[in-house]
Amino acid sequence: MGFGDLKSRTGQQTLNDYLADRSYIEGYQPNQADAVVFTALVSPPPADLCHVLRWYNHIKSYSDSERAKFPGPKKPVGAYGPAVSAASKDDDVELDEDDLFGDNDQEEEEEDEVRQERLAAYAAKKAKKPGPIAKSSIILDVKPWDDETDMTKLEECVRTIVADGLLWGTSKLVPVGYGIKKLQISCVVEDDKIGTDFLEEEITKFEDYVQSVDIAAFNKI
Amino acid sequence: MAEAGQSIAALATYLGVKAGKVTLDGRDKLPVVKGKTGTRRGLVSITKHLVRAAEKNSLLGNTAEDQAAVDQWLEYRVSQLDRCQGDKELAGVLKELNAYLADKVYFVNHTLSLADILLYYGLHTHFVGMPFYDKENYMHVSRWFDNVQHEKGLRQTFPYVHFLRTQIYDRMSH
Repeated sequence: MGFGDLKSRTGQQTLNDYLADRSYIEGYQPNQADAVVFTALVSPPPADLCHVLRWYNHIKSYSDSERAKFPGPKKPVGAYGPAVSAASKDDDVELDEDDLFGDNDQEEEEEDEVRQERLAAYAAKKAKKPGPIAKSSIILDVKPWDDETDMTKLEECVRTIVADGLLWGTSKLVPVGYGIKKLQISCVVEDDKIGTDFLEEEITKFEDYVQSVDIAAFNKI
Repeated sequence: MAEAGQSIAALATYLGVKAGKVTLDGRDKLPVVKGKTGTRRGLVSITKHLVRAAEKNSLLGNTAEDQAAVDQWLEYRVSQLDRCQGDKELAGVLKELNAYLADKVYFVNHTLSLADILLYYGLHTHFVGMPFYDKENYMHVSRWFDNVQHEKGLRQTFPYVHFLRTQIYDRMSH
């Protein structure tokens, strides 16, 4: 409805958008609409609102007396601009609509409340129920630096990693070649608590023994 | 350059004068009008003569500066717009015009001039087939074009070019 306050930035912005594809406020010739909005603008618009500035300069090129002689009826500033036709039509209908919407709002609020309560109850119920814990069995390949690495020491180090939801299983040494063996160790983890990233990080912390860690197998239980 | 003849005829109707018979001369299809007062060659000379004959000298600009500017745009129509071959060159012209018209309502000063009229006639064929996407791309040219085509008596038999996707839909009303 109108352009809002034309002295404010937002009002001028609205006017700018409105004038993007128009040369005049209304129609294709200067008329009273331009004169009225021009007077309402008071001062030249900032340079970054290029459409308003173009229009402003164009209207300014007419003298005051010429502007007064522009054709068309003179209306208040608020009557011009976007969506003016919808706003100025049948005030009664609009009031009715307002009431209608008011009712709707209340009903919606009540509905919302009920729904919120139900959601809360459901969430609480879900939290209490101890659902099945998702676990995974992981087999890790831990590779030493060379054949001189003490594999028993390495295994001990790995087994010192203790965390909630982590359970070490059996291990064996698998020959890789040239007398080098790698440690293959299995473990069972709770998916929610332990991630493979955590395992890899923790094991590679033993830099003295461990060159790298791979995941050889990953099975959901 | 059949458009030149069309432009001359349309301008004559707009001004309410008689253009006489337009012939296209030579390889360049230069429009020529033979009248009682002499022979005139070229779009610019012919149209300027028509304006003077109709005693609407304000269309040529009121000050020396404006007259020079109008002349330049007439020359632009002949040397740039009419010689456009292919979409790429046209896109270049439109881009140029778009930049120029960004802060202007009319080409020269603040009134309709012969420059607007001839560029409107010259651009019309290109605008008729233009998709909405491009029209919105060349927003400033489109706005100017839309404004000029509403000038009384100017459009004549030229088809109306739509700039809104539908007539009911108004971009500003939501």
